[in-house]
Amino acid sequence: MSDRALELFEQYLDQRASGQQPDAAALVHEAGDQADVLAGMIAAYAATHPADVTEDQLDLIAARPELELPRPWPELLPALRERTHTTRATLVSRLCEALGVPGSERQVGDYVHELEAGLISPARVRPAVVSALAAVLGVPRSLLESSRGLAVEPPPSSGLNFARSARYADDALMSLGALEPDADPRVDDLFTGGDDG
Amino acid sequence: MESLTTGTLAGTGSFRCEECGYVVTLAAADSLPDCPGCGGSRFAQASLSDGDPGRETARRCVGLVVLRHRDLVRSVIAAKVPPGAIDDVESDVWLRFSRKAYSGDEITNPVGLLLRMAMFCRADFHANRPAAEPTLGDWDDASDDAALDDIVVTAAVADLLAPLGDRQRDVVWQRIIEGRSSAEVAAMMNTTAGNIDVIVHRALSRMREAQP
Repeated sequence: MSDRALELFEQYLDQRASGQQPDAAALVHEAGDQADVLAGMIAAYAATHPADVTEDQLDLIAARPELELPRPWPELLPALRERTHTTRATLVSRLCEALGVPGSERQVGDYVHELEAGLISPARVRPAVVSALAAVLGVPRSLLESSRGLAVEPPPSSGLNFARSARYADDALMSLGALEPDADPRVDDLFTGGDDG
Repeated sequence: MESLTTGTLAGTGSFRCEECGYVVTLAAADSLPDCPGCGGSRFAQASLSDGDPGRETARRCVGLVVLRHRDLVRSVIAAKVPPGAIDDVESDVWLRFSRKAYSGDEITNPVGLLLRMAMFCRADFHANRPAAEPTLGDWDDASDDAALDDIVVTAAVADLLAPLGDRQRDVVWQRIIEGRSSAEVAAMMNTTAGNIDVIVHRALSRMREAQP
């Protein structure tokens, strides 16, 4: 039999029959210009012959973050940080590095706080920030993408407004604030320039 | 749960040290280091839902469906997506499927749903769309649910075999879908194994020509 797709399909069947776990995707790519046909054969076969699953495999797959119950960012981000023992300061530092805005830790930190507190909508965040967060937290980008549309009740803001206004009402703090670097407009755009921005 | 040791290429995810509980997070190409907390070398996969039995049960149910049909999803993706992007697209499929499962709607035909999602995700990949963002609401839409539930595996397979004549379809079904040998199929159809191979070869050529 010279047909490449059939040869590879036989290989797939043999491996499954011997208890191995063939990588269907690798075989399909190996088929070259017959990839479509082999993919169809494997898909049709796999649809009618579901794989056996071991407890160990199930343990591994069940730990994948994309199988987690959906949670809005104010719940998800702290949970992911806790899972990876990533402090907010570390997250902010690595975000600044990934986003190419070194020295903007305070500004980025404020935005991270606002995201975790539900004070700004994740929908306003630029895709670059989503990618950077996913990389730092070690999760698929799509996990964050899909969760940022989940609504969260905004907390009462009066206290925070009061705290913020009080800070700048203090002359000493005003003078300290004047020593801090100017806000980088690129950071504002990264965190608020998205769809809702 | 299976232990993983320092130096293992464990794949993307988080891993908890079995000695001190420290969690390390790896990208796909990273190998497990010695534990930064205690220097230990044995790890188990960490879970976001550690300590919550309800969540863990839900994840395992979704995970079981995912694993049983993984070859289906990966083969469909691989037909149109370059090797370096397959894991990401697959991840999108699992994400969409789990969201659908957690929505509370009954999934009457998980295989058909996974097939459809795999096709959507690879289309999203080529359109350079953020895969899951615009579709989360879509999957939760009742009218879309009805459409998805209408998809059945037999229909997908029938589409695949549509270009074939009746005899070719019978042979391919027995040889490929049922996994019988050429000799077995030949005996059923009163012909030779060599003739079955020829029929399959021609059928594959026709299926290949019919692919868009």
